[in-house]
Amino acid sequence: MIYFDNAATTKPYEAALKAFNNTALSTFGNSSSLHKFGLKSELEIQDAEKNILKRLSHDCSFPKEGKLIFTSGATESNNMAIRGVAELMHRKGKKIITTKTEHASVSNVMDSLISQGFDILKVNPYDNNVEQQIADLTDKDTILISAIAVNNETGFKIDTKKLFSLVKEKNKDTIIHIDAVQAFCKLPVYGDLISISAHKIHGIKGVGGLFIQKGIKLPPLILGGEHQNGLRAGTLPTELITAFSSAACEYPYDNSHIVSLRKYFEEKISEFDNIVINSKNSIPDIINFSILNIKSEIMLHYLEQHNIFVSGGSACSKGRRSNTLLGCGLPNKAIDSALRVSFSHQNTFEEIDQFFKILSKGIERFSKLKVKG
Amino acid sequence: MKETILAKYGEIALKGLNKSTFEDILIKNIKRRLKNIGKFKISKMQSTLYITPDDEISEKNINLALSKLTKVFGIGALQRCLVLPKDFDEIVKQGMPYLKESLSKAKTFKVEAKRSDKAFPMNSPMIQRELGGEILSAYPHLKVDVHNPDITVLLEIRDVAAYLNAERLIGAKGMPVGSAGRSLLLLSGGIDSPVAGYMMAKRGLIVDALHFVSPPYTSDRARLKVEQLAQRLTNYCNAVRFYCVPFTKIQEEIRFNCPDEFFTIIMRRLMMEIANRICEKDEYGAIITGESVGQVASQTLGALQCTNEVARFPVFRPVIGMDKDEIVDISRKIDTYEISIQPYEDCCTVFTPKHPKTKPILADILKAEGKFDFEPLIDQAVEETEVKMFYIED
Repeated sequence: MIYFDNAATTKPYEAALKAFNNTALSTFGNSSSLHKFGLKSELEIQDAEKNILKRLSHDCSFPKEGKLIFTSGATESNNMAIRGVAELMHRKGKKIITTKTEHASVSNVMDSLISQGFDILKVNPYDNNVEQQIADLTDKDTILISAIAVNNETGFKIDTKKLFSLVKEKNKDTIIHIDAVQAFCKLPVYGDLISISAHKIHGIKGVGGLFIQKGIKLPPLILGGEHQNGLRAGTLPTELITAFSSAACEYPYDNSHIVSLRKYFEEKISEFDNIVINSKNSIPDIINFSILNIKSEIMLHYLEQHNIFVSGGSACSKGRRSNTLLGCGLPNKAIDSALRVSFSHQNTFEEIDQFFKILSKGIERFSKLKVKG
Repeated sequence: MKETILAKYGEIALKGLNKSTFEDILIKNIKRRLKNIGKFKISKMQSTLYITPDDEISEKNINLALSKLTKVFGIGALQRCLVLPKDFDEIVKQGMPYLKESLSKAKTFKVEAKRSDKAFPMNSPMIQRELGGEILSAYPHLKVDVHNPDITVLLEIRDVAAYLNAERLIGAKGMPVGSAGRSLLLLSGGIDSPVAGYMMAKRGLIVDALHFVSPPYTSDRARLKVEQLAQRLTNYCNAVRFYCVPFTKIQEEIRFNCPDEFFTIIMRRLMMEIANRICEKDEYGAIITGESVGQVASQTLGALQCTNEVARFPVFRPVIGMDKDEIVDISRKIDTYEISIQPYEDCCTVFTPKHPKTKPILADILKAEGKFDFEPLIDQAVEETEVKMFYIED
C-alpha cells in the first residue's frame, strides 16, 4: 500500500499505540476521581499537556503561556474558539476577520455568526500578503481573527508570526485564533487560541486540543462537570491524551526527508505536459496538482485499484467546488481534475517512483477515452 | 391473558380453488419473517390467519412481529387481539382492562361487532350497544362518535372464540412473494429502481437484483450503496440475490467505438442483453426496470423501443407512468430514499454524453453497435459476475 493521504489522517505511531495501551491497562482511573488511582491519571494528563505545549512552542520566539484544553478533535476546538470569542466579546465589537479558504469547521461557524449580527470579513489568502491585508482591516471593533495556518487542500501557509505582530500593533485586544491542524509539528505557530489534532501527527483519532493564551477567559462550549476547570466538561480520555503526547514527542523536528520527497515529486511531475501544480507557497508535505482533462475521482479510484491512496482536490462532481481551489484562481477544469498528495516522513522515494509508474499508465488510458472533466 | 394476531387476507381472499396454494406461500413467508423473533403458531380459518405467539414471547417482541407483518405482501389488515371465551360478561370483565392503553389515548370511539358464530345469543347491533355502554361507564372521559372516531373497538365472535381489539393496522396488501414467479430487477443506485422492485414483489414476484459496476469510474462506495438498497428490499422481498456485473471494459469499448450521442442507448442495450443471459441461465421469467417515460433522454419512447428490442423476456416497468414525487413518496415509505440520495456516481452517469439522442432510430443504433464485436465482452462480463445473497435482517 502506498499511503499519500496524510493530510486526511496518518498511521498511528507504534509508540502512540504503546502509550495508549499502557495507560488503558495501568492508569485507567478517572482523572476526576478523588483516590490516588484517579490522581495518577490526572498527573499523566498534566504531563501530556506539558509535552504538547512544549512542542507547540518549538521554534517560537516565546513559549506558550496558557492552557491546553483537550477536545474531541480540531472541529470542536475551532467551534469552541470562535463561538467562545463571539460570546465573550460581543459587547466590545462585532467585527471578525477570517479567510475565504478556511476548513468547514471554521467557515460554517462563521456563517452561523452572521445571523447573530456579527460582521464577518473574508480575505483571500491567495491575493498578495494576506497577513498585511488582515492587519489593514483590523480596527477597534475587531474582536477576532481566525485563519488557517496551513491550508489542508493546497498546503498554502501563512506567516502566523507576522500576522500576530501586525494585528496586535493595530489592536492588542483582538484575539487571534489559528487553525493549526496541518501546521502543528511542522511550522512555528503564533496565536492566542490554537487548534490542533492528534491524528494528523500519527496520534489516534478522537482527541485534539485548543491552546488558550493566559488571560483569555473563554466560556465553555460543552457544559457538564467541572473537568478541565469547567472549560470542557466530560471525562478526559487519558489513553488518547497520552498517545497524543507520545506522537508529539516522536514527530521528527527535522523535515529534510519530506523536503527531498517533495523536490523529487515535483521533478517527476515536470516530465508531464498535462499536469499543473496548484500548490504555491506551500509546506512540502502537501502538494495539489491537476491532470488536465481527467476527472479527479476517476484517477483517485484508478490509483486505489493499485493500492495507492490520495485525495481528490475537490468535492464530488455533483457537490460544490472547493472554495480553496476557487480562491487560488483555478479554472473549473483544473478544479475538477485536482488531486492532493500529502506526505508523511514515513513515505519513500520508491513509493513516488511506483506512484508515477501507475499514474502515467492511468493518464494514457483515460486520455484516450477522453473522459470528460 | 391470551393474545393473538389476526392477519386478514388481501387479494388472496378473492381466489377460488387454488386459494390454498397462495395461503401456503403466505404462511411460509410469515414464518420466515418471524423465525428470529420466537415461536408463533399459525392456523388459517375464514380468510384469516391466526398468528398466536408462544407464552414466552415478550410484549416487545409481539410489537416487533406486528411491525414485520405489516411488510408481508398478501396481508390486507392486521389486528392484535385478546382471545376471550364467548361469554359477554367474561368479555367485559377481561376486555375492559385490556383496552385501557388504547382508550386512554382517545377522546371518541365506536364499537364494531361481527358475529360469524350465529349461535352467540346477542346479534351485532346488540353487542355494539351493550359493549359501548360498558366502555362509557368504565372510561367516562370518552364520547361516542360513530362517524369519525379516534378509535374503533372491534369485537368478533368467531367459531372458536371471541376476539377483542382496538387497533387495526393496514397490511402491505398485494400477493405473497413467490406466488407469481422469479424476476430480475435492474438495480441502480437511484430512487426509481428499488421502488420498481418493491412494486413487483407486491404482485407476488420473487425479485433478485442485477447491478453493473465500472471501477475505477465507479467507486466501492457506490457499489456498497446499491448493496444497502438490496438489503433494504429484503424487508419486503424476503431474500434478494444480488448479481454484480463488471462493466468497465464494455463501457470503454462503447466509448472507443461508438458515436458519443448513442453511448447511453447502446450501453442500456448491452445491459439488457446481459440481463437476458442471466435470466436464461438462472431461470428468471421477467426483467424489471425503474424506467419512467420522459424522465431522462434514455427513457423517451424512442429510446425505450431501442432497449426493449433486445429483451427476450417480458420487461416490467411499474413506475413507467409515475411522476418523480410519486416515486419518491414510495421510496420514503420503503426506507430506500435516504440510501438512494447518497451522492455516489453509478456507471450510467460517468460517460453520459452532453447531447444524447432523444429520438434514436433503431437502424442507426444497430449500425453503430455492429462496428464492434461486443459478444466476447458480454460473455466475459456474465462469466465474471459476482453473486451475493441478502437475507431479511433481524
